[in-house]
Amino acid sequence: MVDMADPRTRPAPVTASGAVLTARGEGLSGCRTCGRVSPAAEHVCPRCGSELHQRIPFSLQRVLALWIMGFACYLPANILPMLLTRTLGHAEGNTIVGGVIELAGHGAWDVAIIVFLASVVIPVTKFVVILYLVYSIRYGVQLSIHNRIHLYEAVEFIGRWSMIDVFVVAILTALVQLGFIVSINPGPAAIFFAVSVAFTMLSAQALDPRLIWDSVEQESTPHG
Amino acid sequence: MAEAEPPAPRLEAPKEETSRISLVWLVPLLALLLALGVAWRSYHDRGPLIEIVFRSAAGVEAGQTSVRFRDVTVGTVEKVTLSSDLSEVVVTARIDKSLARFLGADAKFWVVRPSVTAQGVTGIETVISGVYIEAYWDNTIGERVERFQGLDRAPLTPADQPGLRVRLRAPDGGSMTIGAPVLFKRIQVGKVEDIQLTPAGDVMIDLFIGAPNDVRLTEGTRFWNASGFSIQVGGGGASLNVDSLISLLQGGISFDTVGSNTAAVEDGHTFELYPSETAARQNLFEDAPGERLLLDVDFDGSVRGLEPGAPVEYNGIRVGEVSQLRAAIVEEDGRPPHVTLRTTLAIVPQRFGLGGTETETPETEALDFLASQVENGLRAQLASSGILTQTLYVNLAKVPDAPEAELDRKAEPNPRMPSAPSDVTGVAAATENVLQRVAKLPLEDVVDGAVTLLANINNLVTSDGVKAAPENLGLLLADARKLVGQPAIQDAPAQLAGILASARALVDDATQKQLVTNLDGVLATARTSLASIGNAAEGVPALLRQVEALSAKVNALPFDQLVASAKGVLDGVDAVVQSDDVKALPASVTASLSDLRGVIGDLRSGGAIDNVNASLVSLRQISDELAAARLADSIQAVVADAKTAVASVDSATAGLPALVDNLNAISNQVKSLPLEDLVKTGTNVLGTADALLASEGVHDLPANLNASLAELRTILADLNEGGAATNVNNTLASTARAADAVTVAAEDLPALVARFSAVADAADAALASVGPDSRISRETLLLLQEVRSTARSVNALVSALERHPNSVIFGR
Repeated sequence: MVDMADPRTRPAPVTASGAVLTARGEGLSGCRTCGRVSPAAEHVCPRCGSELHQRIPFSLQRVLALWIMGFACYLPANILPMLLTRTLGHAEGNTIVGGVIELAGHGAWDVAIIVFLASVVIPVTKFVVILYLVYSIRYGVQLSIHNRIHLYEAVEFIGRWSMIDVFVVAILTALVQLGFIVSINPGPAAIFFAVSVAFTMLSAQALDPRLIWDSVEQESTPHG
Repeated sequence: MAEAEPPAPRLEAPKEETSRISLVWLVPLLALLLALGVAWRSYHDRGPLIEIVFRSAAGVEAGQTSVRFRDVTVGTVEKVTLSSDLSEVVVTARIDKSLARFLGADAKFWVVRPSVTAQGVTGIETVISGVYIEAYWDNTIGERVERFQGLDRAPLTPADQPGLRVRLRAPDGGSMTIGAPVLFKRIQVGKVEDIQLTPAGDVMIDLFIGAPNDVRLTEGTRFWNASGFSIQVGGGGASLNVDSLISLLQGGISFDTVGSNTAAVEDGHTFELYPSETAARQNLFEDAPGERLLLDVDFDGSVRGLEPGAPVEYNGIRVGEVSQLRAAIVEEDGRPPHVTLRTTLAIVPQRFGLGGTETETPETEALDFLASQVENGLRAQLASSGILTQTLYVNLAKVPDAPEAELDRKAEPNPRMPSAPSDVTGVAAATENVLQRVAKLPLEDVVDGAVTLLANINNLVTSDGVKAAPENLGLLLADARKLVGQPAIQDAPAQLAGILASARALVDDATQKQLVTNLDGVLATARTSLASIGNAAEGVPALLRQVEALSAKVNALPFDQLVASAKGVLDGVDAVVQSDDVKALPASVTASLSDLRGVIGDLRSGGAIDNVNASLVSLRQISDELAAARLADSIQAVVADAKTAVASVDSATAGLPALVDNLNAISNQVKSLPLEDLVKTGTNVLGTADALLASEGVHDLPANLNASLAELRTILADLNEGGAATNVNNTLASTARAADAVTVAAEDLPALVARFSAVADAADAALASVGPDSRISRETLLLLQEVRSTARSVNALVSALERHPNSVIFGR
């Protein structure tokens, strides 16, 4: 499974016995915060004071629990109205998808696409990716560990941009308060959406990427 | 790193991970519990659904329209559907649980919409925010009701606002509208809340008078319609009266306390609505509804001009009114059945000052009072309220010499009061007579005579003789001047004195002469009379013969008795005369006379004569003026009449011989009379007279006379002392002044007439100015037209706003 020609997928350094050299293999544990490697007996990083684990305990359970919370919040976030617009006393609620359709209907395709990406595509992709990673760690898949690491990094990076919709709501609420004529208030979906994004980010954070390697080690150990 | 350290001491860790369950699962578990809790709580806390039925639900939207209580949102409309028969709209709303328990059958719901009325704009906020449903219910926990009938319009006043709700009964709506103001001293204190037609055809108007002004309402309060305006043209000119501009547009009601009953009224009290303030103030019956005494009166003759509602007055005070007029057939003893006009009077006992006692009601008390008055002559009488108008009223007045009658308490259906003939027709007839006599006056002849007189005077003045008069006068004056210049004239005063002396002597002489002349006249008359008698004497022998025969007959009469009786009478008279009292009579008379003289003397000394003189002078002035008014002609006529009378006397004297003849005949007849009987009767008479004189009363007569004279003397003395003379004096002086005043007044008369004329002209001009083409009516018309066009504009604005409420914001 190891592509030796690609320097990025080149196998990690190996021990004298030929096995892949890992911190755990050497009785060490690396700090996830500052990167310093300490003896496995240490529970607190001597440099930065973070907690030290060779592997995050109950990582997959945490990921799943938080993922479920995030997903549970994502459903009302799409069903309930995101924005409450009162125009001349006439109240109107817009869900996320409804807002996108309305924007598209007004011809603002670019804005519609941005909102659609940030509010629908990215969160859904995140849910799928996290679920896929958990599944791959638990049961093993064919995708290379490098691709899986890239997926994980992408999820971690892009996750914060999901909040763009919440930011839009916050800005609109702050700006458009013209009393009777028009006023915009956050709908209940805004809270759910924000909570959902927060839980998915926590979920992604709870995933210990070293577990991806562990599966490779376990695969390679019988070979090596 | 230490590579010698023992390898992989934690390799078993992943196995622990899979076999154990992380605490992190508590997070979704808690979230789930929280969600369930919130769901259960919101389900448990949500209020009940109620249904409100509206005739129209314009603007009500499911999920949007709120239900508000005192402008606080207490619920939301969840569903708007139609009723099963499609005639109404059923609005389903969810009400807050905390308030829903107060929902009872008294709850009221209405849709708040923008409305523009003459009194202002309400619900303008709903133009922008959309309509909402306003609700009101009280704070008592009542039985749960789930279906309510919504009101078509907002109640004008909140149900809990302190105040009074009263009802007015009116014959017609009188341009009243809902929301019209209720005014007290032209200040709005309430509103018209509802106007309805009753099955009986009256109009019932519901009013609300807010606190604290509701205490102004008493049993004596009267309401009247203050809609529109009134124009009054009277002695003070024309006046235009408008209560308020709002009431001009949408009607209005004023009230004031007129009656004396100040008992407070309760909610729901019903008053009458009068068409005008005057009508409200004149009507009496609001004071004591139901406490009227009904009396029937039968009037003979026409009651034309008497109408139901005409006043009934007692000594000029209005005590009631005529409530009914009808004809009734009356059967009386000894008379054929005839038709009379039966009038029913409604009397208010309180107007007599009768308030009822513990034992009696005011009605019976008033009936007792009237019954006693009827015994003293109180009768119902028709009276005219003016000489020229035909309007009649019933007057309860004491009629002197009224035939006896009494109040028939047992009469059906009402006690019956006796009536007296009215003097209405008499007044009318007298007025007609006067007018006829005025019409008959020979005014044309007088004018003709005046014209002729003026023509004659004209002729006289233009005659040559008169034209020559000035010239002659000039000559005469020249002669006179010459004459005056003569020395003989200088001596004239002395001569004049002499002449006067002579004149006096002459007058003295004339006085005597006049006497002689009168004597002469008398003698002449006597002579004539004697001559007449002489003529008459020719018949005397016959007369004497007759007398002789009579004497013979008389001779035969039993005169002795007669004489004896006469003697008795004379004796009695003598006795009376000789009594001391009679003797005292002259003294009293003398004393009285002296007192009288004293009075007269006082009068004289008090200047009465002067005053009389002054009066006479004044009188002479008056009489001069009167004389100028052709008195002389009248006097002449009188003299002529006198002459005629004298002539009559003359002719009467000529009839003397005939008289003697008649006497003769009478004597003959006397002779044949049964004189015996006469003498006998005379004797009897004398005897009776004797007895009369002998009676004690006659003896007392002189004493009484004496006493009377004494009293007269006392009175005269009192008069003397009391300054009667002075008073008479003053009176005469006043008379003189009065006469002077009359003279002065007579001079002022033309000026007075001129003023009257000026007043009439002014009145004419005033009346002309209120004529159809006058300025005031033109201006009133213009005012009305402007008011009308204003009303039309307001109307257009209102309908425009009703169609497009948004136009307030967006323009057209």
